[in-house]
Amino acid sequence: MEFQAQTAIWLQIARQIATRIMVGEWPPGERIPSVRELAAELQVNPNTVVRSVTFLQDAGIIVNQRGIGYFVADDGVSKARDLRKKAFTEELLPVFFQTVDELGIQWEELKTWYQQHQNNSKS
Amino acid sequence: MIVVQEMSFSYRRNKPVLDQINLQMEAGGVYGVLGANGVGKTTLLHLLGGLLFPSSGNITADGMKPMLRQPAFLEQVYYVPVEFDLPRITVQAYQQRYAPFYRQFSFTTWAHALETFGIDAHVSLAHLSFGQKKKVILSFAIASGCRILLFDEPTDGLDIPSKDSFRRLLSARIDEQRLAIITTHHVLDVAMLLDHLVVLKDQHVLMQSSIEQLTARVRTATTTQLPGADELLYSERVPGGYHCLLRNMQGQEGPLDLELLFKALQSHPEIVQNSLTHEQHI
Repeated sequence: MEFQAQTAIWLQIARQIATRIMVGEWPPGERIPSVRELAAELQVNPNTVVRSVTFLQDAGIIVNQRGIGYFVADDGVSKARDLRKKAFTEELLPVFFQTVDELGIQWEELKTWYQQHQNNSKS
Repeated sequence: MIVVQEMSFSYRRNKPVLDQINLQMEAGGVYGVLGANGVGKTTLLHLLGGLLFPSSGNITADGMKPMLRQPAFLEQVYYVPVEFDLPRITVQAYQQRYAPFYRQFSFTTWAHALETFGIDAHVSLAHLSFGQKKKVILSFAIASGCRILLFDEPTDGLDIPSKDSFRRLLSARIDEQRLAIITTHHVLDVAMLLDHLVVLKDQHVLMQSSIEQLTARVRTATTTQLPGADELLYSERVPGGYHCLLRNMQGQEGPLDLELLFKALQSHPEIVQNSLTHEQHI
């Protein structure tokens, strides 16, 4: 078993940008920082960030306005959530369920913990 | 762009340090040069910068031969050595003395880099520690505007926050016109900046590849159990299990730990032939 969903750097960056869009750091219609700015902030090669934003553009989360930059799409927030959800269900959940099976944890047990978690985050 | 063709170099007769090597480095790239101690990384930078001359073969940089040391070449190349002596003058005087040699020198970038590193331009270089002097030279390199930047162990002597500053400053200066070549033993310090990798071993170029090509073929992962032999190329024990270099079976890109890749290539150079350079038919 691999420890965690381990992905390429450009994809990690794409997901991080998606998360920042999802939580409203850049609302729909707003320009996100340039490739150059993001690369400097993250201390990575700008070409890596180019791959990340191209991916986000293909996913319809951001749109490119030639010569100006990348803007959050009108439905960018929900599409960003879809992207994160896909990663969660395809990468994290299988590992989670595998552990559940290994330890023989029952559905009722899981439910109790989830309720506990919900109570904790409310208080 | 730098092209090295069938180039050999030896300090002593019949003992080549580099033996008929071929390299091609494109503008816009950040190349990491890795190799064990004494394999010729610094020698290679000296050859590319025109400080040493090839025993045979050719080097061209933007169409010019470094060994001819033409002004048109010299104003476009900046070399940051591991060790250096600086004159006993202030940081500002140093810039005033040497910046005129570089037509594209940016005073704004220079001031910004010094500020980022926390260097006062009015102090004398004689009063700076090794790490602080390194920051001055790195600032100068980044501000030089040169199309070819040669860094020998750039993070050597830098404290941890300054390594962040260096990465941030260099990342902001990478563009299509510029070629940066970084030799290092501290590959993790600069791994995220690199888009190409060159590995030197036993007088030869063992491997040269873009990181993108590499990640399409191999990935690294930490696993609790040792993966199967069809997938596993190299592994080492870590507290939680195994740190593994794996063949990229699904074609889905994963992370690539360059330090682990380097270690794998040192002990198993055949990995290059078997898994990195040719298309896999599985």
